[in-house]
Amino acid sequence: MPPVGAGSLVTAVVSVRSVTKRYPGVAAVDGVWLDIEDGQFVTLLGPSGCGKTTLLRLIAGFETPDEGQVYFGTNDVTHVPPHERDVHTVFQQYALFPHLSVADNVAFGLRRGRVRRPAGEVARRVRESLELVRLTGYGDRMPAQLSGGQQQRVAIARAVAPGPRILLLDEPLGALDRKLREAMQIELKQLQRQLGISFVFVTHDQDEALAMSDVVVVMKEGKIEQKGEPSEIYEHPRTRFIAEFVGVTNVIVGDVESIDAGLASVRTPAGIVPVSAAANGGPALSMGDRVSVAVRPEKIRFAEARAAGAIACRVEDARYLGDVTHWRVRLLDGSTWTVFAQNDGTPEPLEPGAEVGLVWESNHAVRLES
Amino acid sequence: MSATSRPAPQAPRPFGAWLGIAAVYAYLYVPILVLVVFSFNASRQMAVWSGFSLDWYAKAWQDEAVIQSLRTSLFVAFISTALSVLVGTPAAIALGRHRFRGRGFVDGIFYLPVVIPEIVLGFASVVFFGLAGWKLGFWSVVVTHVAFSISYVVFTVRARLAMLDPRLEEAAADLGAPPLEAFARVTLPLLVPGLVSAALLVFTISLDDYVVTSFVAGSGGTTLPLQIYSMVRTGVTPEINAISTILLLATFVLVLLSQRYESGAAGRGTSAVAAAVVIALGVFSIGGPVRDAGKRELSVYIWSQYLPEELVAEFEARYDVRVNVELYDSNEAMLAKLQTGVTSYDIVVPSDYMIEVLRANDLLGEIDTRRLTNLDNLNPRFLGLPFDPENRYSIPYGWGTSGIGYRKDLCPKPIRSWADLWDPALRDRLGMLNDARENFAAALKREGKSLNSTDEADIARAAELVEELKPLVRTFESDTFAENLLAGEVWVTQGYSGQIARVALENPDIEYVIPKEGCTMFVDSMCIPKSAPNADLAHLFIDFVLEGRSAARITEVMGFATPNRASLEFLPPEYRDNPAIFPPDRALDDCEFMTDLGSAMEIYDRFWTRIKS
Amino acid sequence: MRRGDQPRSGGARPATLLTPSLLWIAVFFAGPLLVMAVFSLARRGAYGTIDWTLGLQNYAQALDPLYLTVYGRSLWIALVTTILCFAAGYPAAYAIAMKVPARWKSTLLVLAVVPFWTSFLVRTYAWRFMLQDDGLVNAVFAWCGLPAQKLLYTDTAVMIGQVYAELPFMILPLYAAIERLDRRLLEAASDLGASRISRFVHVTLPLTKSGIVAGVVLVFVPSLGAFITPDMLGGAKSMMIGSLIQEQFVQRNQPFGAALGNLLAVAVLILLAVAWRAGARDEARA
Ligand SMILES: Nc1ncnc2c1ncn2[C@@H]1O[C@H](COP(=O)(O)OP(=O)(O)OP(=O)(O)O)[C@@H](O)[C@H]1O
Ligand SMILES: [Mg+2]
Repeated sequence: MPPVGAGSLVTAVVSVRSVTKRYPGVAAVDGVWLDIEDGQFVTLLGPSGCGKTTLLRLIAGFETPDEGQVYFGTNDVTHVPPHERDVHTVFQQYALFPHLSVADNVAFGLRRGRVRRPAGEVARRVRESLELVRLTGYGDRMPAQLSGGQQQRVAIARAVAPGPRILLLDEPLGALDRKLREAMQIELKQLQRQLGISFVFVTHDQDEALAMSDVVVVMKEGKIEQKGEPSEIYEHPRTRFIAEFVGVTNVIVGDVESIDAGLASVRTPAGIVPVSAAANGGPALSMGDRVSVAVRPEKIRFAEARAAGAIACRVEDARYLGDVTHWRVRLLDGSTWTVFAQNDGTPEPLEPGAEVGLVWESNHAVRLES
Repeated sequence: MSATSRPAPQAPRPFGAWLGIAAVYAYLYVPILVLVVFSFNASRQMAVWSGFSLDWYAKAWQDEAVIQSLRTSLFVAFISTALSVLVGTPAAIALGRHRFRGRGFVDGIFYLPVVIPEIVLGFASVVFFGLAGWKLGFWSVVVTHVAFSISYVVFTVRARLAMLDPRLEEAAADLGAPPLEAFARVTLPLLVPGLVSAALLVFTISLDDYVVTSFVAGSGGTTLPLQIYSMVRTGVTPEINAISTILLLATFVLVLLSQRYESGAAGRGTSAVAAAVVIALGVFSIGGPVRDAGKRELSVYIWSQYLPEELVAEFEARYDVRVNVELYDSNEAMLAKLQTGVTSYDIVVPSDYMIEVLRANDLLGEIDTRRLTNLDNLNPRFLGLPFDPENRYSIPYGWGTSGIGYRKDLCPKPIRSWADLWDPALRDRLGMLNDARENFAAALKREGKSLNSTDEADIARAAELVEELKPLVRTFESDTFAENLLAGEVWVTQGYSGQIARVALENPDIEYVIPKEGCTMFVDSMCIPKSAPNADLAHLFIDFVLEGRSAARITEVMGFATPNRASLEFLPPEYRDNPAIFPPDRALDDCEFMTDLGSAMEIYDRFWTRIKS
Repeated sequence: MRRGDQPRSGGARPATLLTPSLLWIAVFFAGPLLVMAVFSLARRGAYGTIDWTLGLQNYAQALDPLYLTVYGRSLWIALVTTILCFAAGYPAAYAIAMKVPARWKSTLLVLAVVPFWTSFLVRTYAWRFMLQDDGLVNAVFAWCGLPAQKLLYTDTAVMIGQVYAELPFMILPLYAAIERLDRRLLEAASDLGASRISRFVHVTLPLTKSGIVAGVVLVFVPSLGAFITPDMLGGAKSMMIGSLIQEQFVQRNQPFGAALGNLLAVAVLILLAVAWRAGARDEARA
């Protein structure tokens, strides 16, 4: 079986190999393979309860897998306790030590057990870390005296201060409001570049995932559905689940009617849809196959109702959003699609009830695994 | 965040709430206030305010027995608090942070000590120590206190632990702290408020415990509550109020400090003051033992108000020893302690019938009368009594009767006989001793029977009479009957001659009578338990007591008569010529000693239970 | 256990952590109780010695109708004490938790416990002094123009003293439960048109059940074995289970006393099990 998340063993800082973790009643992580390369910003994306936190905890060492191994580089760390692992975590609710000042929180990992650093060095690194998260001068405060965003940054400073090779972040922005969240996204990304270490970032916000990551890992029910660059995930979702979870999409199901020069024509109840016959790494299509086809709303343009190759539909309603308009249209088979149209000045005099056609480039019609 | 939070809807009308709270706290504090106020009262009588005075504080400070018991209490409380926190905290962590098989069961075990009634635990513990052969004393009190304190520590610390985010420990591990370090640097500091409240709670419980302690205490284990209990035989003196006030003050300081600590407002100053208070109490609590370390010790187990302190001091000085005085309030309590076989008393002072019992249980050692140079001081009438015909085991200490005390100013007519008690005019103004034998003695004597009757018909008839008497009885009281008489709470009371003689000296309207039918007479004698570690010193002590001057002082303190002829010249006339203390011989003609009734006691018991239910 | 599985709490195993406390309780708590179980099977011998012919006669005796009134009275006293403590304690705990500014809360709670630093004997004597014929209470009555009352050595005095001794043990767990209440639930109930009373009965009371159960157990159990307060304030006119046990000790029938003690302990445990199940069911629902 080709492991979905597996990459090159040579450069991976973390490899999760066929790991399963069961809780009573569920396999929270189910046979996962995942390699994280040095310096990568990897995002774990998926709906609530799909096992993101569990996977992170397996890497941090808070949980031991029921099956499989976790490697750091070439070392098997499956049974190494968390305090001996060279990864640090930014917890979902920050988990700052309430009895320690900001500076002492940040210094915590620097003054740990075996590693004895001189006081001067600790102080310097605390200062640098706080500078990094732009909290210079806050060292003497107690965590309770900070705002949510500031606590967040202390949590990050604390995790990066000892210089880990990998930073694990579990929905670190979940508690912040939208504005702050977007600002922090940019800061985090910058920080990661500056430090040059790998970030494993958990979120269930797809925009966040696409905006920040080098690699997005989509999970569902304990399994990895797809791993790839953000554009690949977006443009070539492997399954209907991904297509619908990441962004908005229109899906239609039909049978392959003919194949011509690598292009398959799929007969659907709403009309003939062209699809790349070898698309998406799956097996080549043959006549009579049943396929699902996804088309992103912004890839679709309006055309004459009876234009060649257009899919006929009727306009239902429009949501005017300023820069774009979201149209809802009903196809002949009764399904509803969404079309995004840029408000670029070309007037599109469409009224609800109007009959129009939909067209798109054939390479934008993505074939999904069923 | 703060923009959306609104005050709770009830907030604007807190007036009624304050009123309710004020009522509850008034209820809780008025008695305390009374106690504090009367600790500054010049008079010994609680009911009358006769001016401000600090005398009771001075008196308490000089009362070696009280101070010693306070020391013991604090010392016990400190050690048992430390031990139970030390032992209980890991258990709290195991239960709060780990999942394991049988956790529910273990959890249940920790509830046991909280829900087993104290009297059961006390009773069981003393039997257990006896079988195990552990000496009753200081440590028996400590280990038992720890046994019931652990649970409170487990609950309190666990509650605090539940409030701690488990992520914090993970965060520490994540940052490279090995488990022990994570515990020391994160969990422990955050647990401190929980540990402080647990310690305070356990300290309070230990300090206040009476029931269990009274069972398991032995020589060196007399805590303040035990001391107080034996002192209240003569009513609560303001001296006890003074001690309570000081303890309250110390509590307030500690509690306020611990609160500041918990609220995070504690600075260096607060911690320093708290530490200073704790250290001061600690030094005070071990002050006594350290001072007297290394001296020979004599343990005297005796009735309260029987042994004047200056005599103890004199004996200590004369022989350069340390005397440990422990008090009991019934022969049976003393017997139970001796029966465990794990006490270290050198002198006990049982009453007549109890000497028989002690001998039957083989608990008494022989006294070498040749070593008693002052034996001739004793009135021969009190030697060779039936319970110890050759005085091989006992030397008389004091004697008395249990007759009737009454208020001449309140009673409609003078009381001369037991039969006078069956008078409806005395309804709710009659006090009786809280003792089955004494109640039956009154009835049996009234009927002209022996108070040691084992005849079932006699006993049944007596029970009827006691039953008849019960509606008139205001209170059954063996400790403070004399106080009740003094306060006018009762007009007539059955009681022991000594206590009544003493209040009669305070109020001339009080008279003690030996009913014409006769009553119980008792002789309390000094004995040396077989298990006495220091029988040698015990002989010296007995001889010391037999000196005329000592015996006179003892009589003055206890109010009972002395069998010591040589003491008479040292006694003030109001004692020597007091018929309540030294009754004329013919008044004693029909008086009897109690004897052990063996299995007939069960008949008395059943009737007594029926009367009281 | 694999490494890494239990990173918490000093890394020690639960067994290690539990051993000292369990050992202590086993030796100094369970040990005595066990001894007492054996003891209760023996007989009283002459002169207060123990006759080690084992049998169940003490238990048979304990069920004698003679003693049932004693148990009944103890039960009654405990019940009334519990009800009174609840009646006084709930409003107080509620007021402290809900209506009092936060900075006062812990002070008030601590103040509820402070009286316990004086010996309970001293406290009880203070009450005697207040309740006696020429005591403080009657002085206040006289000042109000009311006739003097006979208070000391009555059931009223017993109840006053019992409630006084147990009230804080009701207030503390109730406070803890009420404090945890989610105020939004109460607001929601009001929002849905519930009257204050129905809100209290249908929302507040059920949600604070765990505190109520704890408070009731903490008050009821000691009250059941109480005898010193009833004796000192009630004049010892009626026997309680506690005084009956104490009496056996005095009358040197320790085996029977042990049997009574065991029965009392078992009764309390059964009661607790029932209360616990009630509480547990509640937790499960919450
Ligand atoms: N300690 C646990 N005991 C039992 N089940 C657990 C435990 N932790 C997680 N689970 C279960 O494992 C599954 C995965 O949980 P996980 O916390 O990894 O989800 P998640 O992807 O992080 O979700 P979210 O986005 O809501 O945080 C869930 O079904 C959850 O109920
Ligand atoms: Mg999660």
